[in-house]
Amino acid sequence: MGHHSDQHLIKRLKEGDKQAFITFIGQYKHMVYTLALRIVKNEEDAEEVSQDAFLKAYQSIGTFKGDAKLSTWLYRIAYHRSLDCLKKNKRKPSTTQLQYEEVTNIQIAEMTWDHMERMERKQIIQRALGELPGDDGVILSLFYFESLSLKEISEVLNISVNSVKVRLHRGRKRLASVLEKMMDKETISIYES
Amino acid sequence: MKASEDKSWERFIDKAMQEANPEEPGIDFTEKVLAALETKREASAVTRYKAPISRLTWVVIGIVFSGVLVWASITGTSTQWDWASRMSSFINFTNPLERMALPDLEYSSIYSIGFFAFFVLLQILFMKRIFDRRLGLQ
Repeated sequence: MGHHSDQHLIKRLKEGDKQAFITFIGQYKHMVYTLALRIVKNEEDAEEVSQDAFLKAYQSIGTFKGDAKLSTWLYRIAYHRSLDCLKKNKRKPSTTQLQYEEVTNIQIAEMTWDHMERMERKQIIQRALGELPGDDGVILSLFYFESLSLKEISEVLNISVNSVKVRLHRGRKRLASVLEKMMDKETISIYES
Repeated sequence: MKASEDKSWERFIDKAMQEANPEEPGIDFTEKVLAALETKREASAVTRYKAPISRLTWVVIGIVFSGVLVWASITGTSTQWDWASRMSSFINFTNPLERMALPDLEYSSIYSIGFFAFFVLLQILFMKRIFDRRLGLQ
């Protein structure tokens, strides 16, 4: 979203314009929900966290100084609300070491990928993202879906740019490994049916 | 070799992610947020309970009481209560509690009454918290 239209939306939100709030929700609900889901790993909790994040943003828009993008500010709220939800449910962010092997059959994987139906590919990648532990899914979602820079991601997660770079690399590698395994399963299931 | 392999799977992920979309929340998500906002507004309009004695007053009372206790423990029994002895010539100080007929209770009964009162108080605090949460005051 452009900086100018951001400013206009912020101004209207600060005035308490309900229509502006509806626009605001419409623009960011998918990404806020995606971030929450990547962390809490449960659709019901993710919706509750997302609603809570929007309410919090609406109530504290007066304190928004504009030193970050509106989206970055909102994602930061959503990220912290998701962690609070985990804390409340006495769960820890999933840090289990995903057993991933070195991606070796990349050419076969690419070929299988190309031959799969588009919808099927979409579903597989959504599932694979959901299986990633910790912040990996969050970082990949912010990087690919929102095209946020490493610096902006570091602001959302409150970590250094270098950590983002390392985690992004690790996340890609893990995703490739999960995808490779899933595609094998899918391919097997195609032959079995 | 390793670097070129890394590049290949990075390209693969870039390609795969291009086809993915963010997740979809429920269709009535916006309505739910607006309804939650309305509920919050209504809850904040409910008159909040205000303690008759404020927290600050309790702190001041606590400090004064502790001060008196400390002062009494330092000065001990040697303090001459001149004003009190002078007052006794005008007013006859009698302990009204002496005339009260207290029931003759066993220690065990006293303890059980004490515990009962304590748990009733505790329950009031819990109930207050539950109702505050239900009304969205917390």
